[in-house]
Amino acid sequence: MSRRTLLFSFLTIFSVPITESCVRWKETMSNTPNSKVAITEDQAKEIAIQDARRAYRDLSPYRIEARLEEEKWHIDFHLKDPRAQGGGPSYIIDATTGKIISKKYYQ
Amino acid sequence: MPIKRPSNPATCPDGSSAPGNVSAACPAAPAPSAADLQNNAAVKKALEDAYADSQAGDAAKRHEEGGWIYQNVKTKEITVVRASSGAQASLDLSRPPEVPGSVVVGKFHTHPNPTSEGWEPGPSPGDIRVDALHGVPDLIRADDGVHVSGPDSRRGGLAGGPGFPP
Repeated sequence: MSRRTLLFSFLTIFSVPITESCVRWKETMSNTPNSKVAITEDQAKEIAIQDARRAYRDLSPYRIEARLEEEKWHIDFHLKDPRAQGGGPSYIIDATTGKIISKKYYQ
Repeated sequence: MPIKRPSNPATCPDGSSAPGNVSAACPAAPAPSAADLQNNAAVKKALEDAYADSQAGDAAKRHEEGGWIYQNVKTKEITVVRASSGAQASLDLSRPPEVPGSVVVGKFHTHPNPTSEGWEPGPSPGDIRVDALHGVPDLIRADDGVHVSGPDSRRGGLAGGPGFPP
């Protein structure tokens, strides 16, 4: 076995686990709450509820879903009854300031 | 050998003749399209009546109204049945009553909340999901006109029984 082949094997054996570790570390970090995110999920939901109450007379038919994407909270109100036509409000809220970036009142 | 033909051909549900086995020989008659329904006088009236009943001008009382559109498989007549009133932003159209000799070819409902207050006039993601499931066009009367959701016509034509298509 030549020196070059030995060197290539060595690099392959040791670089793959290192690369995988880096990927895992990156995934872990992306799931960790970002330091810039100041608004919790509950706070984001409350911001959405406060606004939704101005447009919707009754929010009891809805369940609320929240997800954090790139420092923005996506808050969606879905009808609990799967047979019903219609819709609820949908928000994108800045997770660093709590400001509503966009909203849609579906019906 | 002479070809044998049935002397008294069977009749398809739409009134046309069908030699041999009816279920195999009768093609599924095409259902009216969403545009056909929008141009039908009975449907137009039903949409306007439903919108008026929605009390769009009263913020405290506005609510959704709607119903189902049927076509008689023989006469092709279009009829409408209203559903129970809905809530401010929802309505249940999942259980159309059976109309003898007719199949459901469409649905309609209102979006009474005004665009001037930031409401979306067109179909919601929930409307789109339910309309795809029901398999008939859904005409939505809002303050900016009529929106259409769901397939362009009843899935599978007039075949498949009186309710929503299978």
